[in-house]
This record gives sequence, C-alpha cells and structure tokens, in this order.
Amino acid sequence: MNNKEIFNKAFSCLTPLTDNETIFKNVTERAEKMNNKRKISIKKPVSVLLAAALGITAATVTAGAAAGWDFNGAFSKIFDNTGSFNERDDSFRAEPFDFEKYYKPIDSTYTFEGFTMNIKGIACDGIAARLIYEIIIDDPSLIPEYQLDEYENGYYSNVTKGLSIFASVIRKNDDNSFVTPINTSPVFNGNTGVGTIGITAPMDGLAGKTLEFYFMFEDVGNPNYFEKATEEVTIDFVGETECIRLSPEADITLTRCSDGEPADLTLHEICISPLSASITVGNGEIYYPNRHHGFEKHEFGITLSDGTYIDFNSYSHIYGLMVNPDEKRVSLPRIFDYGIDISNVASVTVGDITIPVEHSKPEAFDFQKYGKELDLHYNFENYQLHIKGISADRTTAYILYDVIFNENFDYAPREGWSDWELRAIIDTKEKDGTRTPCNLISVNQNRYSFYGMVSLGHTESTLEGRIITMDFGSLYRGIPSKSQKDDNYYSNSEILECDIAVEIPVDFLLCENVIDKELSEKISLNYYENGTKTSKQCVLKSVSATPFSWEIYVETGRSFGKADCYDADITFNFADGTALNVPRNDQHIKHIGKSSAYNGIFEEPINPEDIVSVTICGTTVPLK
Amino acid sequence: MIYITEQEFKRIIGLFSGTVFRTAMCYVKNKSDADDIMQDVFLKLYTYGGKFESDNHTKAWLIRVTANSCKNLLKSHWHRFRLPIEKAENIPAEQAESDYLLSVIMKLGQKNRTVLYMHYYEGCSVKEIAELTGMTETAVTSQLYRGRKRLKQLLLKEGYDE
Repeated sequence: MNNKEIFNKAFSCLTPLTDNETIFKNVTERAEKMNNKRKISIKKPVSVLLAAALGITAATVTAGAAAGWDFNGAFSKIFDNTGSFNERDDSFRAEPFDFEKYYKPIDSTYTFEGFTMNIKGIACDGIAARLIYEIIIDDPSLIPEYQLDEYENGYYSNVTKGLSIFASVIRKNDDNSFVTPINTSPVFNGNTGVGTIGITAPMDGLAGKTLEFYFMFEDVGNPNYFEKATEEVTIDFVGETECIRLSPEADITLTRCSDGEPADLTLHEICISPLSASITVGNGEIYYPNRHHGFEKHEFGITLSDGTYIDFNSYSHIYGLMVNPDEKRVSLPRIFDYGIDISNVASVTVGDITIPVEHSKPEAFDFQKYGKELDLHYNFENYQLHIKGISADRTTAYILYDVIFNENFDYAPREGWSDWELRAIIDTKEKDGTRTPCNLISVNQNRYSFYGMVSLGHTESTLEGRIITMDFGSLYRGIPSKSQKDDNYYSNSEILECDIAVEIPVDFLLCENVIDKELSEKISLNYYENGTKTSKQCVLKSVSATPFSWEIYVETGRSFGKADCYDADITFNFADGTALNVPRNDQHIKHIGKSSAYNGIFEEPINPEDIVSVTICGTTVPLK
Repeated sequence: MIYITEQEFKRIIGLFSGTVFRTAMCYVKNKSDADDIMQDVFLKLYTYGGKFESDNHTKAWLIRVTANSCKNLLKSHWHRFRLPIEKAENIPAEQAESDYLLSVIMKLGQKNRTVLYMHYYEGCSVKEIAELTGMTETAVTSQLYRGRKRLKQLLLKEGYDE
C-alpha cells in the first residue's frame, strides 16, 4: 500500500460521533443561547468623533486649503496600482474618497541637482499619518528602475538604477525618538513620481506632535551623489476624524510570531479609520519587550452593508505593534495602502469574531417627545387649520400648526406678494407670556406649516399645569408697502378669516435641560460703571439649555448697585462649525446677590446635543 | 447575529463534518475531544460574518479554525484523554485494520501527522498546507519528508507488510 492508500484506509472509517442533524441542532441551540446570554458590548456607535475621544478639538480645514491640489487625484495616483509595481488583489479599489477632512497641505519645494521634490501635504488620523510628496526629475538618468523582491506579505521594491529615496521620521516631542516609517516608493509617470511616508501614532496619539521627516537621496549609478532634505510638520490640524471604535472585550486566540504558539487573549479594542486600522489585545500577562514580536496573520476585515468583504490583509501593511506595559496590552496597527470608505460598514471581523457595527445618524429633535400631539382640525371656507402639537420646557412652549388650502382655492404664490401669514395671539391664560408671530416653517404644495411660541421669560414660574390660549385672527398675504412710514404694512392684501380660540392645557412632560453643565471657568464680562464700559473677571458656574431656551449662571463676586451693569456677548457654537449669537436684547438678566443669571430663548428650536461650546465675551468654554 | 441560512449551514455540515472531525483527530487523538471541537468549529462558522468565495474557501477556513481550536485545547489544563482508540474492542476486521493503521499514524508527531493527513487524505498542496497551518512551505516540505520516513519505520516495526 502506498501512503495515499494507507491514509485513505486509516481515515475513511473515521467518522464523527455526532450525526449531521444533531450537529446542526446543537449548534443552532447554542448560538441562540449565546445570543441571549452575552452581547458583544458596543461602546460607541460609528458616528462618534474620534477627535473627541482623543481629546482633539475639532476645527475645520481652513478655506483655500485645497487650492491647487486635487486630493482625490493625488491619492488615486499613489494608490491606484495597475499591477506593474505591486501585485494586489484587483477585486477591490477604494471608491473615490474625500481625504480633505484628514489632510493638511504643506507645499514645500526642494530643488536639487537633477530633480525637484515638492512635499504636498500630510494625511492623518488618530492611528497613522502619511506624508505625500512629488518628485519631478529633470535628469533622465535619475529616473528610477525597480526590481521586485518577494517577501512573506508582498514585495519589496529595490531601486536598481537612478534615484533612490530613503526617509526616516523623528518625533520631536518625544525626546527626538525615531519612528520607523513605511516608505512607499514613488510611482512614476514619465518624469513625475508621487510617493508617501507612513507612520503609526504612539499610544498618546499624533495630535500636537511635531514630526521631522528626513529624506536622503542617492543615485544608484553614482555613489558620489547624495542629497538630503528635512521637513518638520506639526499635527495641529484636525478635520472631523470618523472612526469605527469598538470595545468587544471578547476572547480571541492569535499565534505568536516568536514561537508559533497560540496566545489566548482578550480583544479589547478595534479601531478603524479610512487610513488605518488596529486591534488592541492583552491577557493581563502579556508584555513584549521587542516591538517586532507580533502575531501571525489573522483574519481582520470589514463587511460592508452590501455584503462586500474587505480583507485588511490584502490592503495594508502590518506595522509592528505598540506596547502599553502599564495596561499589559498591545496594539497592532496597520496602515492602508488605499483610503477606505468606512461609512457603510456593517460588521468587523477579527479572527473568529464578528461584531456588527451600528450606524447612528443624528436625528432632528423630536418635538413630540416632550409634548403631546393635539391633532385639532378646524374647517374654514377655503382652508383647514390643523393644530398638530405642542412641545415645551419649563418656560417656553412651541405650537405647530398647518394651514391646508382647499385644492380649488387659488393659494399659489404671486409675484410681488408675501407668503401666507397666520395672525394669532398665543399666551397663557394669565396673559403673562412673551409672544412671537406665527413663523412659516415650510410649504409643501397646498400645506403651509407654521409654528408659534410663547415664553414666560426669566421667571421662577413654570408652564406646568397652566393653560395656553391661542386666539387665531386671520390668514392673509399682501403686497408689502414701499415706505416704512406707511401705517399699513401692505398696500394690498388678501385676508381669510380665522376667528377661533383654542385652549391647550400644559399637562404633558416638559423638556428638562439637555445641557446641564456645572463649571468653574474664568471669563470676562462687559461691565458698565457710570456709563463707562470695561471688562471684569467673573467665574462661569453653569450652562444649561433645552431645545427652546438657555441659561448661563455667572459669579461676579460683587453685589450690584443701581449704576452697575454687566452684559455678555454670548454665542453658542455647534458641532458643524456654525454658531448662534444671542443679541443682548434677547437676553434676560437677573442679578442675585453676587451672581448673575442670563437666560433667553433660541430664535428657533435647536438640538442642544449639537452645542459643543459657548463663547462669552471672547472666551470659549467647551461643553463637551 | 447569524449570517448564514439554515439550508446553507446544513449543506456545509454535510460536506465538511468529516473533514473537521478528522483534522481534529490528527491533533487531539481521541474521538470525544475531536467531536467537541468539531461542534465548536461549526458554531464559529454559524456566527461568522464573513463571506466565502467557494466551498474550497470554506473548507480551508474550517481546517484553519479546527487547527487553532485544537491547539487551544491541547494547551488547556483541563485537556481530557478519553478512550484511546487502541483500547477499542469487538470491532469488525475491516475496521480493525483501519484502526490499526490509524493507531500507527497517531504515533507520529503531531505536525508530521497533520501534514501527512492534509496531503494524502485531503489532497492539499504544500502551499495550501502552509496557509492552513501557518507553517512555511519549507517547513511543510520538511515535515512531509520526515513524516513519511517515520511512518515507514513505524509500519515496519509493527510488522506491517508493505
């Protein structure tokens, strides 16, 4: 018998003790139990900003940053390997990706004998940075030729002729420690080549770090040729850094490179950005003194919402590991060769573990969560008034209503005429509220949506238990008067009667403060003493906000006399970079002993969760 | 979360339960542990979120996971050793010869045994075995050579007529 026959004979009778039907039943029952018993804990959804997690303050890339430089074009030139340089799986190419959020232009030019180098910019996330440069060769003899040498995970490119480039990186803030970079040799098209230098971040991130990129240029055919260049780059820019950050705290087994033996570990964290990915593992005992002791190749990839699986082993360099000896954890970073769009990730796979990724999108504020639906309908000759609902906090209430015109009524906009306006007086029964006109929110064919608001202003009173009265007068539109001196606002108008009164009891849950931040921050307020404006140091003690109103509490440290006056320039800053300034006329101020309370109503309801900071007389205080 | 249909899962069990079981046997040398590992491996498959390009891809994944699971068990302090096959009694002659050959094969070193099984029974190439076991191709070739030589010595020693 030959070996094949021996093995066939030996193993053919070897069958599992459990039949297939029972295997199926046992496995599905166990999976069901696992599902009910233990969930992989997902600490944060995809939409969390890594910037906040790493303590980086968000700021937008300055306008004009992209001038003269096509980001996507640059990256596609580097990463769009045609197969002539590196053999890669062609089944996936990164979709066009907007790198602008991760990119800072540099535009430094170095001129050498025979070529010019232009350092274009640097792309950075919390895990990795990649410097991008362009080489334009004037001397044809310097145009490099490469030889590919195979190694375990791909190919090295060795320059056999022409310009050879070597780069090293020094972290200036960390005692000038060296960082071993990943050099991606320039890909040339004619005499112009684009290359990158990639590095991974230290455990405390890259924000605020200054990196020195040191380049050495040699001519393989001319041993006497040597040039060098140095570029210092400070990572002081931040766009919003989108990241998938998961904390599975799950069991995983990886094979150690050092001895080929399995290591039972806990998978603490998975972090993926468009530029890089890493896992952090540990078992309470692990400690690798040598940065190059890692783990053998293991499954690591993402499944997109359309089912496509992106295997990170095909699209990245595994780059050593980062040791955290205090926590006895190691992070295994890898830098992608391609930028990857991670906005449609459905799950992440590491080894035998797959973790679904939840995508949460910011939602518009749900008014009816803190209010109630009214659904009151009133019919008039040419339209219907639909009072939809009410939402309120302690002092301020918004009421939403629609006007639905009959189809046979000519409601369509007319040139030179204003929009339809609804005239109503909304107040509490005690008539102690501050009222606003009915504001048009939107128009959808024959449906006009309005909101009206009433507020008790700065008071210790509450709307709870009160009755809000709505006296509707008319629905109208007109031709605005040309002169502001005219008594009549409209020179001509179309008026539809709307003579009803509606009472709405405030018998529902009122919105509590969404922001309620205790602080002790030094700020300045404008101080007027006998008509002279100066500035006084104060302490900001608290900021609170609902979707409708806000309040700021300040310790001024002195009691007020009749001639004293503080006021504040107050601006609320939102996560999307916009800001809402509160005019002084819209602020209510109350002095209480040695403190002052400022409050007011937002011009229109906002989502307080979008507020990231408040600026008071030039001092910005973060609220998140 | 489950990513595979019941029908597909049953099909894969039907195709590869034997492969997984036999691979596990190469490591743990007893049927009970191999059976436990087989069910663990299929549980991992059932909850695995990745996609397989082909049945071959699935098979490679299963073998790889089986190998890792076996290594974990062998390292475990609670590794049990039940009913060695050489103590089985009252079995048919045909099966007796199979068991005899199996017992000889089981005397090989674990790496020899696994590599020879994958090569001769599963029909894997040196490159495929390297990918499945995490060994280099050179190491696989070396294990094959040594394994064959050792197997021959064992068979001759046991008086097995070539």
